[in-house]
Amino acid sequence: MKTDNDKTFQDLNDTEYKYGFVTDIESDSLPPGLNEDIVRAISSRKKEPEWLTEWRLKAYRHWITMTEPTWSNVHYPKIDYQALSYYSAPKQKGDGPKTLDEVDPELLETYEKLGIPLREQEALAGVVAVDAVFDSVSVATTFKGKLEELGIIFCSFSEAVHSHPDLVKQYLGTVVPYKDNYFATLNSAVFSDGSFCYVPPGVRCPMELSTYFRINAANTGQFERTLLIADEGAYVSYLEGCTAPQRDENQLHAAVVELVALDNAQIKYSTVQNWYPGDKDGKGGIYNFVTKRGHCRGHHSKISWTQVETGSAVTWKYPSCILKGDYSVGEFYSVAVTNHMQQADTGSKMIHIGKNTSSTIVSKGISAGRSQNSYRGMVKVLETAENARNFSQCDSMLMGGSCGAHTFPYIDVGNPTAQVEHEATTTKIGEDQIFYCNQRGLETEEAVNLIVNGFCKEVFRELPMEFAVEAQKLLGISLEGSVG
Amino acid sequence: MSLDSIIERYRNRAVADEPAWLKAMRDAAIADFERLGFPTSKEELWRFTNVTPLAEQRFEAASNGWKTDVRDFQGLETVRIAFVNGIFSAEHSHLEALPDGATIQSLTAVLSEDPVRLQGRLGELADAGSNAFVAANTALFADGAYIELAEGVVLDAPIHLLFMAGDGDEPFAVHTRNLIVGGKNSRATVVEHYIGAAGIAYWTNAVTEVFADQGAQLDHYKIQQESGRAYHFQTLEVSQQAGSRFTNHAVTFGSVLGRDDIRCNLGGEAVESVCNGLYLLTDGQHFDTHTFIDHEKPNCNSHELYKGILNKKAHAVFCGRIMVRPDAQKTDAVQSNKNLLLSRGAKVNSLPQLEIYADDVKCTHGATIGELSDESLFYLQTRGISRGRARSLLTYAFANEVLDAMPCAAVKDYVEELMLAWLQSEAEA
Repeated sequence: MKTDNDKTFQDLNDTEYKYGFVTDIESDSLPPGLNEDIVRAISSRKKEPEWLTEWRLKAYRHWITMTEPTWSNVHYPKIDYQALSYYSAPKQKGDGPKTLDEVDPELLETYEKLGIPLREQEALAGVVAVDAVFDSVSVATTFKGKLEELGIIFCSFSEAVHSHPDLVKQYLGTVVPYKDNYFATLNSAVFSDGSFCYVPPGVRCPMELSTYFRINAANTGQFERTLLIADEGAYVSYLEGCTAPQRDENQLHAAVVELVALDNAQIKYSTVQNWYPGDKDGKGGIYNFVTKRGHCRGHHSKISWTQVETGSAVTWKYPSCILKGDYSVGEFYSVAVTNHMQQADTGSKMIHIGKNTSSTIVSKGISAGRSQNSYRGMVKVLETAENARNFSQCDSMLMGGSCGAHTFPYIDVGNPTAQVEHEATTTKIGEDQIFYCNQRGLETEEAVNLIVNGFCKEVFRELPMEFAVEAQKLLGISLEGSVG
Repeated sequence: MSLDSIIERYRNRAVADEPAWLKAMRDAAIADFERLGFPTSKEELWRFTNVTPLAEQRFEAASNGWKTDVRDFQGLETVRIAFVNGIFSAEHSHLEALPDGATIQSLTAVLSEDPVRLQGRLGELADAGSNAFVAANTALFADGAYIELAEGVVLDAPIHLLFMAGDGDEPFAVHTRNLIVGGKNSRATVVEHYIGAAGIAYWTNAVTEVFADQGAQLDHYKIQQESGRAYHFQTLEVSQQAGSRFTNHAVTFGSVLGRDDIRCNLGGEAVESVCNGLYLLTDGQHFDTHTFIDHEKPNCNSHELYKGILNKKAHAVFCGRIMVRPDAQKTDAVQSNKNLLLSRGAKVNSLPQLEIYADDVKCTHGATIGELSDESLFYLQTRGISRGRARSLLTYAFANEVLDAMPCAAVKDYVEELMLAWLQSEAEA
């Protein structure tokens, strides 16, 4: 018998066949399956230089020798990689809803709660796919002018390959090598697009850079690649918003994010991930298998990851920091919420190589419904890392008796001057706290919202303001109906 | 090499007059062993412990007695069952004055006199199908201690299980098998004590199965003083019924490469389980502790405290897994692993893990790794204490938390003396 997901993947393909490929769309799509020709075709369609095509091929050749990892605490039906299409055109007009009236009212309600303006709502729901793409591009362009004055390069990855090939060549794959892991290798072979950002020495990026324009791209490209370089003394704060609830399709999303921080540079990378999590019974939803890694290459550099994970059917994601430069700092703040049938296996890796490096991990996991939420992390202090310092805290909150919360930290210390601490607690939401709120006239749902937000405050405080507000609202929506 | 020699030894062993069920169990175990082979570091559970030196060594069957006189184990000379190179030694044992209902015998004696007593208990907990060391032990064990306490029997004096190794020209292997059955509401203290003559090379592969029936209270200790060239592997499997209390205190000084695999199954309500440990390692020693606390039923408590002191090129691994099954509401589980690194080159891998499938629980774990605080050392120095003494003092204080939790004063004093001697020799070296 075929499982739901097989069926959904099948549906995807069926859809393409059913609607047929008329001229212009056909030219923009590749048939399902993965082989060297497909990799070459992706590369040639993007008019990539020879070295990049070769790099993709190397990755592909390595990928076929690898097996899909099974060590994580998530379960999903086996993915048939040959049944997926690795380069598909933007959504066909006939596929998505045409006006807001056709969009699922539940979805609209969600947007309303998020406070997203109508114009944006249309874009998010994929109503006006083409317009929205244009919209986003133009938005990006307005920023670009301003940024260019400062010498900041911020563009799509494909654009960067053409306009700044030297930079791309210099840094691509230096943080996440193409051999890194199954999904990263797959991404290296077939990545569609993504963003590229370079901040020159001594420049403080005056505004938060955001990848909102990628929302529509997400409808098509499931393999994005982001490369962000902060040169000496530069500062950049980067927002990644995956706040587009998707329609009922089961997509594989295997992205790679590489960050490089040189001497005295600082990168702050914030993510609010709200991919479609599937319905209450776990049908549909995104498989989010992402490799994110930052390299503190220079001394006194700092990389800070903040993530709020509320979406995806399956999440497999470990934003990491390699602390190579002396006095470099790595931070990881995370809130992961799982409800219904969602599964999350997420955490962070901190690799201390340089002297006097320090790292902080704060992870808050909330599980409700029948979901499974795991923290998996690693703190490694190499022999060279004099006076390394790490503090990790992983708190889990359980709501309801059918969910699970798990903690799997790995602590490897090879230097006696290191100071490493790890703490984890698991509790249920306090009945007395809810009662106290009830007593003050708050509904139980509001009370839960309040308590959960308090529980996560340590992380929200690290988010840029607009994001923090959005994250708080998202949290409430994600947990709706989880307390009876 | 060793794998083949173990299988060969099994095929060539003199067929003892054993009951059919045991023969079947041994046959299945050697097949398991052949299938599993020695674990490699590719297996998640063996990631940080490389058993290649053991797997490549050929071990002779243990024989001979230990000619050296047994040292005086102060305070522990009450009830003793002793084994020399794995074989029961009446000479070194004191088994007089046992109350009615208490049986302490060698396993071979029980097997020849009344094997039915073992059926349904022996091999019930230790799974040869998933653990190569248990498989080898099940196939090849020659002897071990059998302790049975009938309902309501209370033994105040600790039972000393003494395992001595000595007099080997060639490296030899000792597969020791112990079975401890604490009947309903029984109470006893059991001290497993492994000691080896200095400088000899051998492999202790012990399996101990413990049944704590309803309301039983068992305090279990393990003092490991194997020789500096020994390999020491032990699997401790505990099954606890409702209202029982089991405590385990393991103190490790010896062996060049060793591992404790401890599994407590909390299979009844209102069970209390304590697993504590202290490992003092130096000079190329590698010791690994894996614990698995399995909360199956509601209203149970478990506490774990493992502390490590590592000097020179020592390497310690701690992996503690707490599982809370869906039914185990109101679980209170605490786990803590603290490591003190005394010098460069020492290495620690700590993996505290929680797996929780019930919501009304209180579970915490913590792990720390660090060195002695400079401030504390300085404080003591300002009070006229030399830096070396200050280090010893603070190290002693660090370890003392584990000793303080030992309910049996005689064992505690014995271990404390060993620890002070260890600190002394490390300070001088």
